[in-house]
Amino acid sequence: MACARNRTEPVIREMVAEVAVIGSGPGGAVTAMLCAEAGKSVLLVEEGQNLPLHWPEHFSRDEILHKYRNAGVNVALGSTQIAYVEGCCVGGGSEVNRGLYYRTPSYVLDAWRKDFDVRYLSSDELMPHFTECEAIARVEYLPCEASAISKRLYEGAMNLGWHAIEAPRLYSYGGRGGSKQSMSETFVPRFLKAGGRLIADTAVRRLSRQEGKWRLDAIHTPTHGPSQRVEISADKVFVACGAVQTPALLRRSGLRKNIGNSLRFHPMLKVVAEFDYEVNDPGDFDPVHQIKEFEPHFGMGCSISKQPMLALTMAGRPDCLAYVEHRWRRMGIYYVQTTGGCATIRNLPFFRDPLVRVRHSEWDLHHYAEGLKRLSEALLAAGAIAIYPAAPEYPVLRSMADLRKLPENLPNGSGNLTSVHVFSSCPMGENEALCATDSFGRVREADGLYIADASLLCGPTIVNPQGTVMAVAHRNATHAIENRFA
Amino acid sequence: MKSKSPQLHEKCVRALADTLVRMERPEKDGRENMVSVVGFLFATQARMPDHLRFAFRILTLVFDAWPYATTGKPFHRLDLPRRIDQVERWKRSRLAFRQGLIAFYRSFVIFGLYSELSKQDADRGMRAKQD
Repeated sequence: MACARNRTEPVIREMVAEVAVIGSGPGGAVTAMLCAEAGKSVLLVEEGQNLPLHWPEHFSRDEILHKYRNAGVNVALGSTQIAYVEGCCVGGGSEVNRGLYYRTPSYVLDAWRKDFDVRYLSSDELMPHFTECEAIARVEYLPCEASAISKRLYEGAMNLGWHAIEAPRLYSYGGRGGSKQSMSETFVPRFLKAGGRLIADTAVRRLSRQEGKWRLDAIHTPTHGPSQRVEISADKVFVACGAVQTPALLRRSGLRKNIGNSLRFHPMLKVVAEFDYEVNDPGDFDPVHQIKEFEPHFGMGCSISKQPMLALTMAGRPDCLAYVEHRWRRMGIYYVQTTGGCATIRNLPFFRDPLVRVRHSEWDLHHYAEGLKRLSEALLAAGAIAIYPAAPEYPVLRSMADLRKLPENLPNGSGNLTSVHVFSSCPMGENEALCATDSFGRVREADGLYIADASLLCGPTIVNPQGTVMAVAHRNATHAIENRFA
Repeated sequence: MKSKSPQLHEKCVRALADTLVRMERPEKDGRENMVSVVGFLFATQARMPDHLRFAFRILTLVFDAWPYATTGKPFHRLDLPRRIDQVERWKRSRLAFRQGLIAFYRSFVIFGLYSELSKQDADRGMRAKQD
């Protein structure tokens, strides 16, 4: 195993900083870097391990065990469940995602300003923050032809006259194989260079206010060696543990107003499409094409289609699973991504992990079903000979006639919704009936306490949210520093 | 201190994983992958949310004890045809918790198994290139 790029501090029983940032994902890393570069003494506290970007192998079984929270087994319970994943390592979700990158659509920001009364959040006002982040974590388009899996989706859309695009990625394609622009490769090294201190394997369990300072009760659990309790004292605290863990921590610490009541997702339904020629080459770059025709209701794209992922997507179809072993090179995984579902996050007595409960409206169930139909239509137009929806209630689809027989709504209880994006559990804004923080992420009635992750976003971003998380964190940290945290 | 013999839960998970692998690949001997697949299952269980882990542990023990009434043996001591029969019954049950238990183990066994197959494919490819 290679060494991690970033150096961590030795963890001792009592640690002190001017600013503590909990969580080193896109929100936390950006915030920590700005505070350190502003001359503050900053301690960045990460619950997961400090691991090299390229170890374990991307999208492998070992990566899931070492870099995903709870080994990727997270479920929002309800009549129709959503399985979701979050990163848990230095760099957070940016280490395990594909890094597809977008700036927030202006219509999304308009809605947030209108419904949540978020001040100073127009596209123009957010633009400098996007630009600053993009100067540190590079965003590039593929310099060569996209993979066959990716191009099939694009061609299907073109054949139907639908709007489709190639998405850029947080990726630097120069050099041998290129390099993903995750937080551990970009913002975290710059944070350390500015004098910041990083500790890993350290989970903050509770926050409390004592004698004008924040006290963080944490447990340090190194891979080798015994656990130890740690007390961190800080003047200011930014919580950036992700949209599920941030409200869980705040609620455990006695802060509950509009916290953990409105978790949102980008629920996905997946299908495996089979073609009559090879489309799946393990050496290809990750797929990048997306269909935008039906946004904001739903979008479509291609997933990583390694053999184990194909098998998992086909797991609900015992009769067809064996095809994966011999025909996987002709197969690709595609998804339709919507905005449905709204969940609550609550801590349970005697348990560490929070309970997430989700509900869906009829409108949501209709859009899942409609999205799946449209995705299948695009894939048939791309030349797919068979489409295997992950939802086992659906038949194998081979023609437009098959699509016309599909139900109007996703059957309640379908167990195949997944999400790789979670947000909106502690929305920002001046609308006090809905929002957990002010327009810049400061928690109301808690002096010197801020939220700095996807929890703050007022709703689904429709597009991949990492760019929005980074830009909003950049905006809010800049505001706090310029106002001396007043 | 851990006892020398594996606990009931562990014995049941091993037997269930073995059954699921043989059901997925009846024509092949999947035993060469069992250590790795079972290791992945245990590692996943150890990391999953604690309230889900607790619920699955209880359910797994119920699953193991289920055939006592009819056979006088727990699941992990049944022969393969009877184990397959019990898995099929739970998989097709109308009770969501029974379906859910099998779906959970099956998903992770399939992912673990195909990860091994994929690795073996890649290794064979590497060797072929070197030759």
